Amino acid sequence: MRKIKKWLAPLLVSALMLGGVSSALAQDAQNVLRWTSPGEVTTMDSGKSYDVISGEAISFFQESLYRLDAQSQPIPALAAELPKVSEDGLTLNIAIRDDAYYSDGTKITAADVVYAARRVVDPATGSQSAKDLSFLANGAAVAAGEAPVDTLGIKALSDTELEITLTAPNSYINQELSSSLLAPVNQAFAEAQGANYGLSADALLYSGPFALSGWNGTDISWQYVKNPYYWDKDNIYFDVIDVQVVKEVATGVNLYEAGELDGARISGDYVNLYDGTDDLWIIPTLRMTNLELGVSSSEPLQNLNLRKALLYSINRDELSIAILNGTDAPAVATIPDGIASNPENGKSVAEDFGGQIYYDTAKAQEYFAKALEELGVDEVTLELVTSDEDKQIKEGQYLQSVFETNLPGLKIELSNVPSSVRFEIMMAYDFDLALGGWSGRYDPTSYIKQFETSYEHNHGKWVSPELTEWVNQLETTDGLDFALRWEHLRQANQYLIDNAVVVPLVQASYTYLITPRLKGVVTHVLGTAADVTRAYFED
Amino acid sequence: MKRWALYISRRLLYMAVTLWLIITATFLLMSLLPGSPYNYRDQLSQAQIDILDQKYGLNQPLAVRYVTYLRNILHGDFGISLQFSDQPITKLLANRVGPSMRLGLQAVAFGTVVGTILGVIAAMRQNTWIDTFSSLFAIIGRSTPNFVVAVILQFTFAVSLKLLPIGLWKDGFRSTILPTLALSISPMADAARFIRTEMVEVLGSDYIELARAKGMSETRLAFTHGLRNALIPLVTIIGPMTVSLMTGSLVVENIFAIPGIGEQFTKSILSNDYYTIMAVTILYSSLLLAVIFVMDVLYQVIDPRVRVEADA
Amino acid sequence: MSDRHAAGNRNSSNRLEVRELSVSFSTYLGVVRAVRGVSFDLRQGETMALVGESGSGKTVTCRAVMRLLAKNASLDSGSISLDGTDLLKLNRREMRDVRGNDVAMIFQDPMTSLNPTMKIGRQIGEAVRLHNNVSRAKAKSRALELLDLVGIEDPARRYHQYPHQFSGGQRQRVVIAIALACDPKVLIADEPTTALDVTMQAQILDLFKELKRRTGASILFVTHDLGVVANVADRVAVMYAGRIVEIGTSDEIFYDPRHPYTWGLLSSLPALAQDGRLYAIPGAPPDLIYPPTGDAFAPRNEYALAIDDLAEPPLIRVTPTHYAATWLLDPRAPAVEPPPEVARRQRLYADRQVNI
Repeated sequence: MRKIKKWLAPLLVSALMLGGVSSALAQDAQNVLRWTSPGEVTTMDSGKSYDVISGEAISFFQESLYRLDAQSQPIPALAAELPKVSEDGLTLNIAIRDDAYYSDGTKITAADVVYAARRVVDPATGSQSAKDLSFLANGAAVAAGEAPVDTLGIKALSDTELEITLTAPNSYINQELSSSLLAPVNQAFAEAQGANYGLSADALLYSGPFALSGWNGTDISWQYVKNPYYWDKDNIYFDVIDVQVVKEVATGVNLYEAGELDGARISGDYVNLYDGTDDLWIIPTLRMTNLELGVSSSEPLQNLNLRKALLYSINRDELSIAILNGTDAPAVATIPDGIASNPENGKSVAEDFGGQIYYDTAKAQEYFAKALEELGVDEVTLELVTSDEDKQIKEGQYLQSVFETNLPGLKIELSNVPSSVRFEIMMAYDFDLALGGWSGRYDPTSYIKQFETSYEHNHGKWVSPELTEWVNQLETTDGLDFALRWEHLRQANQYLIDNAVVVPLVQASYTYLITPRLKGVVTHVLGTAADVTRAYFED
Repeated sequence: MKRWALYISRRLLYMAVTLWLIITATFLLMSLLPGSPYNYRDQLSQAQIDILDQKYGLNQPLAVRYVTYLRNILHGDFGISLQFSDQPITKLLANRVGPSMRLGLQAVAFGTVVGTILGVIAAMRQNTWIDTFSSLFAIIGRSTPNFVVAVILQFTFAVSLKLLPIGLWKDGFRSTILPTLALSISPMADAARFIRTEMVEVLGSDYIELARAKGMSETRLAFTHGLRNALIPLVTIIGPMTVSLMTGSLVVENIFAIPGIGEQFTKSILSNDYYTIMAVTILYSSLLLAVIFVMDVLYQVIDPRVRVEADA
Repeated sequence: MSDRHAAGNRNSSNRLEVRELSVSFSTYLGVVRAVRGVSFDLRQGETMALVGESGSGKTVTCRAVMRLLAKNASLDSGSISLDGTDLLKLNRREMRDVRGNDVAMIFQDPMTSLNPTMKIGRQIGEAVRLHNNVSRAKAKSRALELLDLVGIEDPARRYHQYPHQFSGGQRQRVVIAIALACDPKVLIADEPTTALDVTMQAQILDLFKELKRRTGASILFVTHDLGVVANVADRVAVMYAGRIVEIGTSDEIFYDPRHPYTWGLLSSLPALAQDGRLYAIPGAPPDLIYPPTGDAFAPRNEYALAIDDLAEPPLIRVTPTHYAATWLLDPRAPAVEPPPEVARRQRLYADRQVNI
């Protein structure tokens, strides 16, 4: 027995070493990025994705007609070039590239895009994003089940020619066409998969730079493997991207510092901790957090001076830095900064519209005094409804203390309820103050539309013919005249602020730690905040 | 043997009835939950919500939905998740139940064994510093939330000393060590306390005195004669303890980035994912019922006085 | 006069020699001096009864022999020699070897003396295997033997049963079997029949007599019941307030008692009740935290002399086997008339002596 043991040990050791060396070599031969996701994906089916996390994942392996650069300008992807638009702006012709293939070698055709679009709006699919394709003709009707699917305004004229008909001329149509909802789906494959389509990695075909692997529905780790059939594969550096779901910020930071992850989503105090380092990335988004005013159901709030008092009594810098640790930036207008810029001089929303919302206690107190006089009371009590998540609770408490301190006589009662309950309350149009917000898409109009008289989600039921007029113009007649659009947006924004219809608070951002070795990371205000599909290690 | 068969079949019947009652009650309560299962409720129009409701059968009256649901589960179909875009729930749970169960069982096993030994030692060294230390440990263990322990363990052993993985489920057994430790503090503390109290009482019994008179050493006395009698109350709580560990491990699972089921329950309630709520409730209730049943049988094995008599 | 005479010098036919044993307990009320200088011998093969009321120190004395005293007990002085070895000087392991092996104990309450979750066969076998390195099978056969010895029917089946499946009397037999497992030289029985009803009592006493005959062990029999004593004991020691007040053969104690306390005990036997009234010794035992300087029994003693309050009487010899600690035996003491029933017995005894 001892004799055997003598040579067994060194043999084992060498075997292990060889194994280690060879796997290390194999490792070096591959370019691997160890990436992270803040939560599980709800779906990998591009037609059903409705949340940010799933959207980010899908963007690795599905490619739509266009993709966006850091300025949200379209770059042809599946499409060979920018669309040809008809005179009336209602019809678009798009040429599909001829060398696009799925991850299994099947050719991608225009019909696949048509099928994908129809899938999204088809009530049978049950996609929660069906409304997002209502810019296509008959989109809303099909989604409501009132028209057959093939009446949808999208047609394949040939394998490489696509014809799209719009409900109305859309100034942001190029951005809309970058939506992953329009990523091609091979009909034969999808029908063969049936109800299992999209529920696991092998029940999908991949048109993007990578293919999904190792995901079967609820995993918290999976991989993106370089797609050998991708038309632009030479510009894709990584062979494998390992994704690990990390929900606890501290754990993510620990893994990042230990070198086990190349990126980590952070929040809170960590933002301060990494301030000034090369690892910290703060990426603004289009999510606005607003204090919504239930004007229709609260008598005091129908008083303009009271509303104005609320608007000017908040120190948004303090809210952003001290309370929210810099994860959200102060709101500059009712429209988020970065969504668009003035076409004539390139000024951003902040530069052009900004300066209207500021902190001025004296002014606020003046308005409040007038309000009390006009209302004929000594004090006002308002209930503030927030969600029961940490962030919202903190924001609510901050607002309460600010209002009660700066405006003596104002009493705020806090009500922290689950998100879904807050929505119910707001949709019942019966509240005083609520911590709400809006995440729009490329068209700033949606931020204005929130307060349009007939809009379902106008929680305060604000009535204004002028606003309705502006919204109509923006949605119909303004068309591609971006200068005119900008002017209407400015006027609408001014109106909202002058009448203190809403109290904008902050604009959210995503904060990341990304290893400085990683270059070529593209940031977006909408969609994937930090896009690493074309990133590379600089060694 | 016949008595046992009768006993078991009776118990199984009770369990089935209890489960049915739980299902019904949960179904009813769930229908009272405000909100809807669709995300971004603030962006969907009512028309769209109606369409989705129709697709998932949520527009039907409560009674119809209830009967359909019961019929489905009897065929093994637990429905699809609304949150996870139509993933079959059985698949969802099956994938994620494993790690939680493993952690729960490991934590209970480790915790109760170590806790028992601590309790026995404390009882034998009553009112000495060992006893005081053990009591202190039990109080601290009971009061400290397990995620605080988890973070401390993670920082000490994984980040600073680099002995164990920071998290994730990739390293086999090593990945389970820190989360198991974190989760085991609570059962350890409970076991130590229970056993100590019981042992002190048992050690004062006459039969212990008799065994001592036989010439047995104190340690052997404690473990052979004392422990078996002291274990009985502990067996009572082990079952529910295990189940609660499996359900309550959500924060620890998040801290160590473990693909467990802990979060599913709370998340599904908050997002109104009806069928997932039902499935998870059924899973946990069944587990609990099964565990209680096993415990009752175990009682009879440990304590012959409680046995189903085969002969008088 | 010292008690040396009562106990005698080291005698090789003595199994157990207890000399000047003193035990006290520290309680939060003070130090209780439970045993105050007890000396006696237990000869090979003899059964000696330790009689006294609660608090007399008889149980503490037994426990001292087993070294099974409570944690707050202190062995102040004295020695307990088993075949020449002073048990009080052994370390813990050595004492464990003795306990259950050379000296075994039978407890009072059979309902709680056995482990309810362990089969009785195993409990007996355990006693065997603790001191003998034998196989399980061997231990089992010994256990069956013992069950038979103590009169349990169908031992093979009963071996696998649990205590709750036995009656009180049967359980006591099992306890006795456990005690006998290793053929002990000394058997200490601490009120073994007190918790049993009269029929069972009789059975167990018969068993003791049988065991006495068959095993030749020395038995120290503690009881407060004189009726029981008469049945089994060769010699009797009467204890009061931590001391032995009278010691002698069974006959001597029953028919020629000399200590007023013993008179009191005999008078309270129900069989001797005069015209339907029971006699009870008035008063209660003294507080042993502050033991009296004189005779501890004096306050309750209708025959007390003045000197009883001043000095404690030593054990005074009546016959070579009979001693009593009472000033009444001192030649200077006045003659007293014992209670009528006692006097009657003494006359009977005297007659018998003359006729022998």
